[in-house]
Amino acid sequence: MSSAVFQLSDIRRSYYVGNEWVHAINGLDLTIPDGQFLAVIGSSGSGKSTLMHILGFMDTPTEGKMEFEGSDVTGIGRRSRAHLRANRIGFVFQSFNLLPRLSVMDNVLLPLFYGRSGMSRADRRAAGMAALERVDLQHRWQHTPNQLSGGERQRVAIARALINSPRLILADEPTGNLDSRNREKIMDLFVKLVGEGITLVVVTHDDAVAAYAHRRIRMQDGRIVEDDAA
Amino acid sequence: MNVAADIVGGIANGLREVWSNKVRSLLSMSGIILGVAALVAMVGVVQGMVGNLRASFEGRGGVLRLDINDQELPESQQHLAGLSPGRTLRDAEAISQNVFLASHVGAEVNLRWQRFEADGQVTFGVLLGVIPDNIVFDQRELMDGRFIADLDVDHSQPVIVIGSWLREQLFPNRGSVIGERIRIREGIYTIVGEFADLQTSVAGVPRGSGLNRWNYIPATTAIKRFRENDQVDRLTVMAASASVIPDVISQVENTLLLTHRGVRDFIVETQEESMAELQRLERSFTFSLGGIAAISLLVGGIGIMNVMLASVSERIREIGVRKAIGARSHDIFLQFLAEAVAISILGGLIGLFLSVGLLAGLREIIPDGGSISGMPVVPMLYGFLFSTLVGLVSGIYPALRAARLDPIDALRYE
Repeated sequence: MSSAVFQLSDIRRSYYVGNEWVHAINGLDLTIPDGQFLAVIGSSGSGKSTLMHILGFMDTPTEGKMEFEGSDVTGIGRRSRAHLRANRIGFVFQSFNLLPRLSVMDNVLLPLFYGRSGMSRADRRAAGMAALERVDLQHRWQHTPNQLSGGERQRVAIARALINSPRLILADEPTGNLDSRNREKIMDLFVKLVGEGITLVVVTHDDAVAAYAHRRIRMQDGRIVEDDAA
Repeated sequence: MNVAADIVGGIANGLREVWSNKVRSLLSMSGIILGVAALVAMVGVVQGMVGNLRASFEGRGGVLRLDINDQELPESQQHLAGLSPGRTLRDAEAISQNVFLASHVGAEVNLRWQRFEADGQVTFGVLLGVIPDNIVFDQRELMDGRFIADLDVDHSQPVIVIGSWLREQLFPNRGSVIGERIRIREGIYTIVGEFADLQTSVAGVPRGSGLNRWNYIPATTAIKRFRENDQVDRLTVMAASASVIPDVISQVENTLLLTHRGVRDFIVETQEESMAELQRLERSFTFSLGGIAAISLLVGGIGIMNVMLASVSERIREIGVRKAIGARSHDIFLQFLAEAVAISILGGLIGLFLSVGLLAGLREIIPDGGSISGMPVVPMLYGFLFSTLVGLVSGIYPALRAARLDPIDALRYE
């Protein structure tokens, strides 16, 4: 087995709501190997979104140890987390979340701005074009998001996730807002990207989407209850 | 990337947002536009008006001029009232003989509006009785003939120096009018001089055409023919230089105590007080009008803050996305702050353009408005800086609110 992108040991994430503790993640161990396509399934409230936020450095576990690319990232600061989000991880959301006022190209280039890439304008454009070519939308770079179909918007969002050449892409219900034809297109694209060496984690409750993955884990009450790699 | 690049990026981002919400941005910057325009126009007008006052002040002798005015008798001298003859031509004579540090002495008998008649034409003008040095204090320029001379005063000659108004009204389309006669009440006066038209004659400072209706006769003639006593209405002394002003004052006081029989019914006033008065006037005008304009700028700032707060709540999800893909809190802070500043800078610039138009209009409307600067650079600079500052301050709170949003909550926000 190749080296691990993520290694989580006994992770807990609890919230104090009302006057009791809610344990969204309750003792979770997970190793995500390099290049794996992992599907996280589970009903709502099972903790899969919280896991996604923790993997995406948007949330921090209250307990447990967390390693990313071999180094301990348990309890790193907000700045470092923002840096990792901008440079090492790509996000794909259910509702695409493109900025409506920016062109397709500017949407794709946005992470470079926050990643402080120091690239020249021409280099950024070239990188943006390359990312759009990978999702086969290079001809739409001047359009705005509302001129695109849902499937195309999601492909732009994937190009945005690819722009920083991330090691890991996190996708939260990426096909939830798409019809079956577009769902297939997006999933084929994901499979192609995994084939190119990207590690992919998809949260879904669509079994058809989960079927594309190398490995499926099912969550319930903040724990992994099923793992077909085990 | 360093902070400067962040700011440049933030402002570019901000301008893009301003551009994509044109109507809303224009509305939110309207307060700033009007505030800056009002500030610059107000201060510009005040400066122009005070400049006019200053020019006329300098024209009348500046700081070297001393005015001898009437004064209430001090308590200890109340019983002496009636002993002093008041300010008379003898005072002027005594001062020019005894006060060697005075370069000029002027006296004026103000006969106010009179009816002037000649060649069957009638008009009205101001008539003043003067002595030769008055031409220095009043800074008048002769176009033809001469001014009132010592001999005219000594012999109470019926001569007159007229302004351009009288010439236009009584002798239209005529060459020289020297030697012509004018009737005032029962007296006939011979014209010996004519003033140049003031509107065009004083270099760079157009003064009221009202002065063109002023006409001068010898002070002695004025007193004999129009007055029952021999008092004058103005008595002025010009010091030879600024350093001798205190000496001139004490010499004038000593001289006048003699002619006034020891009664201290006069006071020698320097122009320092007028100068200070002028400056006080300028300050109070600037502060009150500038204050009103500043309040409207403040209101503009509140408008910007309001729009920015609305913009933040409208874009909570966008903020979540930006944070998810790597924006730090301070990136978001800068973005919204830059947007507020971009709005205020743009509004400030539009306000400056507007103020130039406003000032051009005011120059036409306000009498003697010619001295109002069309482009008062310093007030414009202040107006622009102040508006930028207002944008900066009013942008801080909305930007902080945006920056503090939690990315997870922001992304969930519908």
